[in-house]
Amino acid sequence: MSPSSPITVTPIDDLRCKFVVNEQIAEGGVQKFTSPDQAVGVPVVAAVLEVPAVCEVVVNGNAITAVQDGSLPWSAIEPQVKYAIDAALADHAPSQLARAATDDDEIFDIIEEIFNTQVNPAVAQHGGKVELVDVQDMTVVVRMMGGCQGCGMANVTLRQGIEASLKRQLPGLKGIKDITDHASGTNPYFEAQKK
Amino acid sequence: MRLLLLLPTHTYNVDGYLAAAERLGVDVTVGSEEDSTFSSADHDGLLTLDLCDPDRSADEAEAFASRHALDAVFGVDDATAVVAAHIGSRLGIPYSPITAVEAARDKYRQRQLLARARVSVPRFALVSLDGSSTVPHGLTYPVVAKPLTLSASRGVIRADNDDELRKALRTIGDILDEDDRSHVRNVLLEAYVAGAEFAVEGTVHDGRFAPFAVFEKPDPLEGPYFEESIYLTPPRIGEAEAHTIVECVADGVAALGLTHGPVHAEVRVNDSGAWLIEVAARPIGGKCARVLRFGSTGDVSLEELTLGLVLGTVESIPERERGASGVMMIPIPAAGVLRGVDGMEAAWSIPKVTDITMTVPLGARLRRLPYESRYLGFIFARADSTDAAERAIRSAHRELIFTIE
Repeated sequence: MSPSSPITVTPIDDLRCKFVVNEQIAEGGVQKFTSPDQAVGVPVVAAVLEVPAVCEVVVNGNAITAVQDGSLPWSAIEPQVKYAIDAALADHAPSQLARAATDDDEIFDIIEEIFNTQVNPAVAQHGGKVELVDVQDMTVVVRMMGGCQGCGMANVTLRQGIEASLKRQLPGLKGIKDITDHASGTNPYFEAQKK
Repeated sequence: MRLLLLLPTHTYNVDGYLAAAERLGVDVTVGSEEDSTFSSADHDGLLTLDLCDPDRSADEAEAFASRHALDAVFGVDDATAVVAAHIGSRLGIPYSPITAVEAARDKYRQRQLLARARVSVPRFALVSLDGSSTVPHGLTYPVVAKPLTLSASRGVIRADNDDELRKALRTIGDILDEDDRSHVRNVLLEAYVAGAEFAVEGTVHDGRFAPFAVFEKPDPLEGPYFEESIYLTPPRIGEAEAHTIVECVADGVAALGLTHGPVHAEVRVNDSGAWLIEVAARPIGGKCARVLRFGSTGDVSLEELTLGLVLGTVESIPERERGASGVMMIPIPAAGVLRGVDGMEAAWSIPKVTDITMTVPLGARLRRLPYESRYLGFIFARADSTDAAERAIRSAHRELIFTIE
């Protein structure tokens, strides 16, 4: 474990305490996690959820709010949460998280070409753009922008259009993971209108 | 196995149904009224249908089915349920009869069938928007004026006297003029029924209604507009009252002749008993479906259960998850342009809050009821008790600050 990175601690109330670190914990806007199983790919969250009495974790960029069940005072929990955050950040330093030089790299290049020649020319018709972020273990990670961000039909485009097309061309592909913060979209092509 | 899933492009709930279909392992063709950017590239996953014309949609679905066999069809809202009934009838796929689904869609036709079957409904009359200035014979104030086919409480207005009625009808006329799909200039007038309101979610299979959940609506809905806010289940009522509510819905389902598919209903309860306010041949609207989970671990969504029943892959209805659950449809506090939403992180951190989703983009122009059909978003909570779920939802809502200019 590397030396501790600075963590700012701000208690909110008896049940909630906020920890701010220097690096982004997760993408995609505010997210809540209630079990380590949900936190696959977000090791800091998984580690904090292992701390006794912590039952929920809210992540927003570089801020982690730990929610406890009220069974212990924060003075008893805070050091454990800080330790968990430190340890997880050290164990999963960016250099270790970088995309491994595997088949995923070759797949990335192929998919990037498909995005440039097929996907983005198509979604541009609706003022949208889809950014290829990564390929991780044959799962394509994307971020949607423009008319796609917040669009009511974004997932139809993603699943029925892009994913289906990619799987036809690359049969071994597992699927697509969308890390878009759709709530921040300001100009969705199709806006939800009814309850 | 292939499902034709009818998703209007402005629905809230694409994600839930696509995820459900994936978990069920079925192939999906999404039918929408506008071309997808991939329509020409994907020949079996996307289908453009004229959802305003059910017969034409059935023609198009029949042509599609000649190339790709369809095993089931499902419409997620009132309008697409009618289209699904037409397609089901054309292709021989089990669905409720067209007449029943169309009656569920038309508030006046629905009232007629319910009253004829002696289901408890408010006294009602059909009036013309252009010629009415007082309540017809047989009705007394207060009354509620309702457009025949709009949803989400849009255009539903209480009137306590002639003046208010005239204003209400003018307002409804304006709303219908804006809605280019509305050609009907008639309005349902019905007696205002005081009392607590509940919603019921369930399914009908071979004509037998089975409830999934009864929802309590803790905020009073007394008018002049009827803005939905919080749904909580289980409701804080006795078993006998819950049974009365469910029986009232079952009677309504039978009266309309619904035989297959989802049912969402609204019921009012007062000293005179349970009054059926509305039955719809569709599931609970939009993202509210997330409030219900099923199975011992709660890993089955309402969408998965609903599609499983439609596809015939679910043989028995699992119990709803243990504990209480609730949702707030975040009301629009003021008209104007939505400039900002603050306090999201604090709202999320309220214990027992499980999800907060904003559904209106920044920069959108907002109106209030009776003109608006949207909510700002949704807040969900799960807790050991209904009281705790309600507390969590209200606490989270207090944390959110909306800037509307």
